Amino acid sequence: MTQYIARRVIALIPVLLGVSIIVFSLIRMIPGDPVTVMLGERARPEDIERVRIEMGFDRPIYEQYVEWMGRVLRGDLGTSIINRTPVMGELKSRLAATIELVVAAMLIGLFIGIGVGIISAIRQNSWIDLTATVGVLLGVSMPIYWLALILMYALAVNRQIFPPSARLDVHLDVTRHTGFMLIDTLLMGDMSLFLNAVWHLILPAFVLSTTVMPILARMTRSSMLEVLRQDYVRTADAKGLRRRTVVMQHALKNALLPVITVVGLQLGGLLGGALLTETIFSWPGMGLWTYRAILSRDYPIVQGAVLVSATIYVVVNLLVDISYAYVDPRIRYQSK
Amino acid sequence: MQKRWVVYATMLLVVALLAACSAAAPAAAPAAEAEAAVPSIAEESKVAERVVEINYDLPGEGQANGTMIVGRGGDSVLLDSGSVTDGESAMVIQEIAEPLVRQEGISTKPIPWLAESWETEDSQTWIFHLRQGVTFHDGTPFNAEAVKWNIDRWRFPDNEWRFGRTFEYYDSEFGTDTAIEEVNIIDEHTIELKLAQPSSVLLAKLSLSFVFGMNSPTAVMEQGDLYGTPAGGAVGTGPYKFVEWIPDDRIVLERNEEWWGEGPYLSRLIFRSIPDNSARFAELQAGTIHQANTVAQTDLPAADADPNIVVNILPSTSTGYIAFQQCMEPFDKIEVRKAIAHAVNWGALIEPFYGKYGQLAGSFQPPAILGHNPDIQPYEYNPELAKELLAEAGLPDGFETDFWYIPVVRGYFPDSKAIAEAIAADLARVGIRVNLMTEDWGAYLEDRNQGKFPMWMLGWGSDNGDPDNYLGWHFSHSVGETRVEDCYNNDRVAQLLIDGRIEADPAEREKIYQEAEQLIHDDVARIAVVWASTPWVLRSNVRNYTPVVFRSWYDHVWIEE
Repeated sequence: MTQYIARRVIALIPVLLGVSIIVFSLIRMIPGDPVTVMLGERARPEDIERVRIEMGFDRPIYEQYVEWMGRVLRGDLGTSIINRTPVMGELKSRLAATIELVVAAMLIGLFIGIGVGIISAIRQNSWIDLTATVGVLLGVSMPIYWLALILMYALAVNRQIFPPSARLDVHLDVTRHTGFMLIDTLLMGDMSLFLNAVWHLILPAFVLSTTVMPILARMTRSSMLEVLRQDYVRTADAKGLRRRTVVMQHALKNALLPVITVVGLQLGGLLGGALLTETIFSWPGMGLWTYRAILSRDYPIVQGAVLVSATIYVVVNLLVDISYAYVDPRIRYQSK
Repeated sequence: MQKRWVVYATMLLVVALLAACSAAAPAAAPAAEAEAAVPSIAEESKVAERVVEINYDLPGEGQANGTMIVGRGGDSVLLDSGSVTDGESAMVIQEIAEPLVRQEGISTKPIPWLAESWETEDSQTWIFHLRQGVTFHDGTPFNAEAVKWNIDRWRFPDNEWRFGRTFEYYDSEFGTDTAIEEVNIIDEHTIELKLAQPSSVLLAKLSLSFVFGMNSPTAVMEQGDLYGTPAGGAVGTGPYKFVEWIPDDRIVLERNEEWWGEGPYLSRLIFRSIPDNSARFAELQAGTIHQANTVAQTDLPAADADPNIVVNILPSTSTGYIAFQQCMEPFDKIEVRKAIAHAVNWGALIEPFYGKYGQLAGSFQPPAILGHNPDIQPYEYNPELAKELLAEAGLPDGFETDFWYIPVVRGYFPDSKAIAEAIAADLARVGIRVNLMTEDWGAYLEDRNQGKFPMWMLGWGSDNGDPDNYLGWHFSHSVGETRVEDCYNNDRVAQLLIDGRIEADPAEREKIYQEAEQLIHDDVARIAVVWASTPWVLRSNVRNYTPVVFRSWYDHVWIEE
């Protein structure tokens, strides 16, 4: 097992190296550079040329890459071209904001998705199942952008149940230690601050969760249906166990294996969906940051953010693979 | 309330026009000179000035402690005045750092600010008498030494306190021919600037507070390259002090209790980044922000209908235009450019795309800018004439070309693709087949600069109200040479734009720019399509907000509870 993990971790190195080369060259292949974007409508060609040389964009691309990679290996992601702040410092708070949002969305998605999946499976073809199927279809086809605005208008403007956006009320101040609003507010020891942060998190997290909820519900349902037809479930029913115990303890555990795979894969989707959610709910996370950086050609930010997102993605997939062993004892990783 | 704004807008138009004239006056009392130069509208000017005063009503007991929250589409880039060019940075910087000269109210008339008065004999050597007893937020005294330190930082690329930042605006406004050549400290509160050549535009230029606002030398030197970033902050003499900046979330400023002026009346001023237009408007409707910058055209009717929201329209200081690469066939032929001008029903674009926030353009500069030529009429819609012109150019069957439209939303082209499609449809009727093209904004601007587009859309919003920053920006070139981006050359226009920069008498300047306007129109150098106004959308309880396109002030603002 340890060997397996070690091998997988080592295999990450070429993957990430490849990612870094691709992102480094791709962002430079797009026409337009930070200087043009920075200077906007007002730029004169001679100014652009001068600034470009000042910033070293006239040097060969491999030279720029080697220099950047050297710094990355020392834990320095460089400095934003546009506002001159270190990418690393900014990355920490952005990452925390996105993780908070994505984890909350995943939890909501898992809770509702698996719940709906189980009910649909045990009440197959009932009205609940039908409603859930329609709901899933709607969830899949509804653009997250649209849903976000509808919910914002309904629940934040017309009925002011939730705040329309942001991570915390603008009048409140929080000392940022971790960048995770829920943790930082708890550290301040003020319950009302914490609740304010939760209150701000619900709407965006719910909206984002709708990107994973349908597929989780569908996967759970079909997987459950299959498991519920197995002999051992009939045996459990026959020996007089309560239905709840049979479903939740005997069937669900086995039905969850494919769901875990989906969770791992969907995490990438969540990071993608986070861009739109972050934009609409003014959530200062990775998505919004990267998007802006791409538009303004802020190379160091794009490179750093993509590298970190790719790392997260492959690490999560590794964790998913490892977790199979715990969920299904039949799976063992052998090193040959 | 809204009717009142229309009245203001009309009156301000007059003020802006008049004040644009006085903006150029180089003497110590520019207002007086302007009145002398244009006595016929002096009386209207007084009426208009009173409007500005009425607008500033003082907050009642206990109402000067509000927090104003401004929602905008993007975050600031850097709060270091002079080293950034984006509007979102400008908006915050100008509440923190102040310039020597400011423009009065919503006019373009220069008024004393950190300089109490100024004098010049020849528009080339200027002496500024600085306001005394002013300190920066960090306690550093504001004096001639601080002013020299700031100016040196703008003008010397190798200045050690630039941290690799560029001062583009200084470079483009002062360039090499009009540079500030010498800065001499006469005494603690008097400073002398010597320009490379006489400039009547100096005061208008210096009033751009986000560029020429004074930073505390101590703070810049202490913070180093963190200055102006979220980790550092900014230190000026202005009405508001920097508190904190959480990137892409908010920038918080608080009242400077020591400010030398009257006010400010807000205890806190918060700028929030709300990237999505609909979300930002939703927040305004919910009352969680007091001002929404850049409201989508489609949301404006809802804003108009909401009793808690006020929409202010001010005179336009922005033009949307079509440009041609005049070294490229067939745009090198004036008949072709004229044919395009007459082939499109420009007037039909206004109502659907701009509503009441746009006006069909005649001359390139809108009426609020000095040198606007009221005699220039929009090109007449006449497809038959267009066909004749094409035939004259040897293209009776028309031709095919690429037409580039901007990939971003701008007030001057709020829905650029649809506008481009409408133009393309009209052009097709006379046989001009255009391929609509666009690309990412950065690439677009770069290709435009290099003269790669045969025909394209772009626009302009004035920075300081001066025609040198309007007509001058777009059509300046050396006599006998052509411009890179559009290959335009007209020696008379070139000479006029050089003269306009130097001429001190506003009435003369007006004539110079009006003549240039006419020549540019006759050459069809560019087709001015629309003069666009930016609507400013606020909660109705915000008092004393004074906006124009290129600046907005919060020192008199208060929130009615």
